[in-house]
Amino acid sequence: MSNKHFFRTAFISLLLMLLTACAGLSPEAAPYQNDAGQGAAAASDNPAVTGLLRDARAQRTAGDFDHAAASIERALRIAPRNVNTLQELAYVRLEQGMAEQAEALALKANSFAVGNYLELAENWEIIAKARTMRGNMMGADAASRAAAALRGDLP
Amino acid sequence: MGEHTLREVLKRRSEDTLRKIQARRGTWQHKGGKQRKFGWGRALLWLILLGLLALGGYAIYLNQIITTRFEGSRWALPARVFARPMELYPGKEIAASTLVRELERLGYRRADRLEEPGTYRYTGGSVTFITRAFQFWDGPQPALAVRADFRGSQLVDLAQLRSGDDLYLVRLDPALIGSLFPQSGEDRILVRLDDTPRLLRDLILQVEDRRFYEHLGLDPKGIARAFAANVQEGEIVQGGSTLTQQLVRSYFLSNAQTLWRKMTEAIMAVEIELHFDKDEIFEAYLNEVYLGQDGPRAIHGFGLASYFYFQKPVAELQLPQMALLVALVKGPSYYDPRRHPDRALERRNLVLDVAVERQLITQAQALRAKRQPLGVIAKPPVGTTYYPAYMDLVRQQLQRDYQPEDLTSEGLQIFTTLDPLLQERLEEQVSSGLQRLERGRGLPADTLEGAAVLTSVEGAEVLAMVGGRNARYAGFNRALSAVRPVGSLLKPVVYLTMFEQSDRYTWATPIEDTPLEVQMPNGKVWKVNNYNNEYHGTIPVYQALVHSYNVPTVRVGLDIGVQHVAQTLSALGFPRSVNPYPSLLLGAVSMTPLEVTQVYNSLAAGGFRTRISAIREVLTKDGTPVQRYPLEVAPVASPRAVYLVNRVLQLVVARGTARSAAAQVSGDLNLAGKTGTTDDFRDSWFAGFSGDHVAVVWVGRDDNKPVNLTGSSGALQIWARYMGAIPNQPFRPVKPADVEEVWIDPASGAQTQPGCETAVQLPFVTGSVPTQQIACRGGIRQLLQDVFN
Repeated sequence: MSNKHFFRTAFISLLLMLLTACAGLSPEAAPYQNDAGQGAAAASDNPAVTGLLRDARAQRTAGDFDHAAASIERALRIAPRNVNTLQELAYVRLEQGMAEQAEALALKANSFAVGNYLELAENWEIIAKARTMRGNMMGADAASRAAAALRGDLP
Repeated sequence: MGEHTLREVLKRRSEDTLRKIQARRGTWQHKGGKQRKFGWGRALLWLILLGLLALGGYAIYLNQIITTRFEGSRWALPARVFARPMELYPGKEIAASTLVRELERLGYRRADRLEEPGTYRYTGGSVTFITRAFQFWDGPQPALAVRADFRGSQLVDLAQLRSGDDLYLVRLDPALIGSLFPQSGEDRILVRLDDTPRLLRDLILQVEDRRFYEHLGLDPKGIARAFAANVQEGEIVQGGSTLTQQLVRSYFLSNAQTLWRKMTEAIMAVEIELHFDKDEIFEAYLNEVYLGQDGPRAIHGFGLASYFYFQKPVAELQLPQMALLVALVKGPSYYDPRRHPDRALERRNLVLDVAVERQLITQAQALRAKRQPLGVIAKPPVGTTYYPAYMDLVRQQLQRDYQPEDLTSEGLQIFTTLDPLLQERLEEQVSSGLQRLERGRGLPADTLEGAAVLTSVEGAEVLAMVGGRNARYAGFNRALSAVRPVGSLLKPVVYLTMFEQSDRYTWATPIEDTPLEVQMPNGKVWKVNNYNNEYHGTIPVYQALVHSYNVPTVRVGLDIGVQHVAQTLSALGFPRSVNPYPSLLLGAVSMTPLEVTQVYNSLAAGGFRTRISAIREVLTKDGTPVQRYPLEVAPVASPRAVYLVNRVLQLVVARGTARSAAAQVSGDLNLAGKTGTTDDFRDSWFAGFSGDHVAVVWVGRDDNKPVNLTGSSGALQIWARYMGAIPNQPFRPVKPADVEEVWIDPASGAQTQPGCETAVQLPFVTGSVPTQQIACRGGIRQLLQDVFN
């Protein structure tokens, strides 16, 4: 009886040891790691990025769009997935009349802003403006409605 | 050249005059002996008069040359090409030693006390330095004294050195990486008189032309004094020519020592003095004087010489270095400090003695300076460039917007995206990787060739590029020009098209992996084979990408339409037209490594294409902005479809054909990528990415003979070591809202539990998740459960 118990214990211990060893092999290859919104969160507390965006806003206010865009691109090199930085560049492109670029940048911002309704809504508003500028009224309307729905979805 | 022709013309002209005079004299002789004496005198007078006239005409002609050639822009200035400037900010992942290496590369000098720009101190966990003022595209940036504190491999604190105020961002001056100039020619970096150190100017004046600010281009007293000094010393200590004469000689004339040239030089020297003020002449001299030779490249002016010998701007030269440059004026070849260091040292010290004698420096200063070694950098910064492959790319991009002569004469400043640290690592890895492959596979040495490209994911900036195993050799640039079939590198494009074109497919969709024969439109039969002729029956389709199975890929591709695959390839950024033959599905399309990089960059960036670029900005020589290449993105593929593909490209590295990468690079980076092998093992490819870098490596032979390497056994080995050797962010694609990650049993494609040993996590569009569930298959946990039950 006690012999049987010993073997049973020994067998389970051995199995547990094996299991521990195998855990090191990491059977879960490339598990999904969520990065949604991380770009935005991580970048907003990066003083280099906030400083460059501050410069860019001043340049934009002064009507110096080329320099504003250059400052924003510098910020994007530091934090490329920052939703707010992409939006800033989209706004500059809107003011420059580069509607196609503005829309593309807002779409790119969308791909990083998953689950962040406020940012998504803002992106769709940029897209609506860009489409209006290009005379695509139906597309603009759809984008506006997407933005409104997202704002309405807010808890 | 001009002088030569001119001289001949004048010679001919005076001969004509002489002949006419002789002819006239002949007539006079007939008039009888009485008038003969008077005739000779008149002739002489005429001769002198005509001579003076000719000389006057010549002087006017020379004056013309001076005004046309010396006014305005005086030199054809090659474009100067810069690397990216390093940005420093709190939180940046960078070790103190990396910063120090960058500062050394920029020619910053390690010093005990920081007093001037271009110096640094490195103590324990902090680096203090004074940046150099620099004119960037967005404006001038003044010099700044900075303290950077590090913890581990992170910069944690950045502050102004004196005030202690926090700094949020500091941009270093960029490294000069080369120039674009015509095949053989002069090279120079212009300096302004005001930017040249006072001491250097005084040294030049005292050694070369003491009375420069007093004379009118010529200095008879100076000649006499130089003669006396030289006799006294028993060697040439001082030259007799004024700075103006030296300038004329170097700028306008040949070096031939003829009396005629001496006269021309004198006339022009005086004329220049009449046209320009002294400071202007001195500045021209500083930029014109010949100070060295680098192969076909002549080193002109103190600005370039300062880089050529000391790798720093003139403003940062120390006394012994200034003395050496002044010493070189006498004979850059004879006193070449690299070839004849003894001669150079002796001459430098002589210059220092002159400086003491003229009370420019104290005896003590001179003694201290004499104790210093020459301090010349062993290898001059390579004239054209240290990075020939990268420079090819820069030139190619510039040629779209500029005339060749603008690039070689206007002194444009080109700001590129090259990261010298990443570039050097890439050169090392390609070179050592090819050797390792040759040795490991028993291939003859030096038969393999390779190429590689590294870009930033979101900006598509080319950070590094290697065009062959010898990165210093400016020859055939394989990264830009080797057009090779890509093989299985194309499979991700097929599957991206599958998700874009059809909602009938998920990664779990079963597909037949059995030998396949395709009836071609021309009546022939195409037999599709797997690598090693191994077939796996019915499998979930994701396995075809993970393990690079050909047959399922062809089935999918034929089902969704080859022309759609071709369209996707173009959308991702492949610039040439593609024939939509079925063989395209297996990569029967030839691309350069750079083109492959463009395609994979669009994948890495989530379906947004940014045209690959090596240049950020172009400025004129005075720092006026000319052009900027802004960030432009184009949505070219659905982010959802790209996400689905990228997640499986991560599986390729984690457990598929690229799993051997695990030995070289951390699994925590979640790298994604794909192997590529072509018929008879002629080309070995790997293309892949991390969170911030896309890297593509090609290995093959120039004669296109088989190398007997797969993408996995060849290019991947270089790629993985490189990715392991450079800083990388993990690749974390953002999951679209309508996608779910589900654990799947690889054999059946059914859902299973997360802990199952062989289970893989795969993405599915919401609503398409497999409904079939299956318990763990035979894993240890299964066994354990059985035991406990």
